Amino acid sequence: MALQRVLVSLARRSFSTASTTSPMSRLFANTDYTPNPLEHASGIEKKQLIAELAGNDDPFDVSVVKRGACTKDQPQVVLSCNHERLVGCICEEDSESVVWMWLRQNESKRCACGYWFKLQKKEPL
Amino acid sequence: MLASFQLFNMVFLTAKMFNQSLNSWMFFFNLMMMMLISAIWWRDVVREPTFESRHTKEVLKGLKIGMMLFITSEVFFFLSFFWAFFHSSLSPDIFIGQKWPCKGIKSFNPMSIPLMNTLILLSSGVTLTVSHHFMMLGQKKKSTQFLILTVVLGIYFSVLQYVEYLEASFSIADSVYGSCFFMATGFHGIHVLIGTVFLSICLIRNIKKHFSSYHHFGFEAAAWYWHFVDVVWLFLYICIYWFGK
Repeated sequence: MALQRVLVSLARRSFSTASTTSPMSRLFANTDYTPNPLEHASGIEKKQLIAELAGNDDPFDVSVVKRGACTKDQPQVVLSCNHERLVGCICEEDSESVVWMWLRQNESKRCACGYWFKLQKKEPL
Repeated sequence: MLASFQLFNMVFLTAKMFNQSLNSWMFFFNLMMMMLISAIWWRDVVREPTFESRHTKEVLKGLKIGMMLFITSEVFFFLSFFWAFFHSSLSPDIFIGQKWPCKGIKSFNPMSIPLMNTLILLSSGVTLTVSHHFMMLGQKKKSTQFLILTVVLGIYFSVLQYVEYLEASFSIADSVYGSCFFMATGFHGIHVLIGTVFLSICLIRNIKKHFSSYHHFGFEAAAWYWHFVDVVWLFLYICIYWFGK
């Protein structure tokens, strides 16, 4: 009997969670309440979801950007939360390769094809 | 790094086992170490999305492609066994009696345990899909119940396969039929065991509320893997059990 009680108690313990009313503990409480994706997410995953809800589909700035004028006076601005970023330039419309270069903070850079790029620091998401 | 050392040791000891004798202590030690390393690695894989929220959409995309490539590699792994089977069975050599199954081999009745196993695996595919749909609807309790059913069906399949192996009148060393049969069904059996463990982990994670109705890639990967194992069984059943009887 004692062994049975111990086993039952152990089995219960491993599945029980503290039940207070804070949102976090409600999330992991043992009920059939399932949080919606936004509620369930946290950290950087949640920030991405919130950014998308706010209309920003590319919060990490990783998608291909169509270039602007790209002159020395009006260089293409590349956002980064680091002091440098690897940038690829598709020099011609029908180029078969991407020309990669390191862009560093506070210095504009010119690709061999003549287009100018400039790094602009932004706060991480 | 440790994992790769361990894997090399496993391969080395397995080859040694085939050629000389099994150093059981070393083999067991290596197996335990490999399982420990795997467990620690996969613990981290669970922690990353659950407690560190590392699964942004870009990361998820990488995981999905990784899983797809892994399953593709598995397809070709099994393709090689089917190739060996058809190579030997479609025009049986004079050395095996010019007949298939080879001379002296008494193959299994495909309408017996194998048919039952086919039904079990197909049913487990259905219960898994139902579980997934309940998960997407946010009904955790029902999703958990159907996932338990899926795991039970997986275990039932393994038990029946074990019983069938016990009843086999031939071994892996009995002609090319035995080699093809046990190589293909044996590796499939191992995949069922791994899939059952994979689904069990998903079951525990579902109970612990690691999954949301939208973000549950661990579960989806397990489901992909399970369906793959299911499809491989259908081919095994049709080709090796039914066509090759």
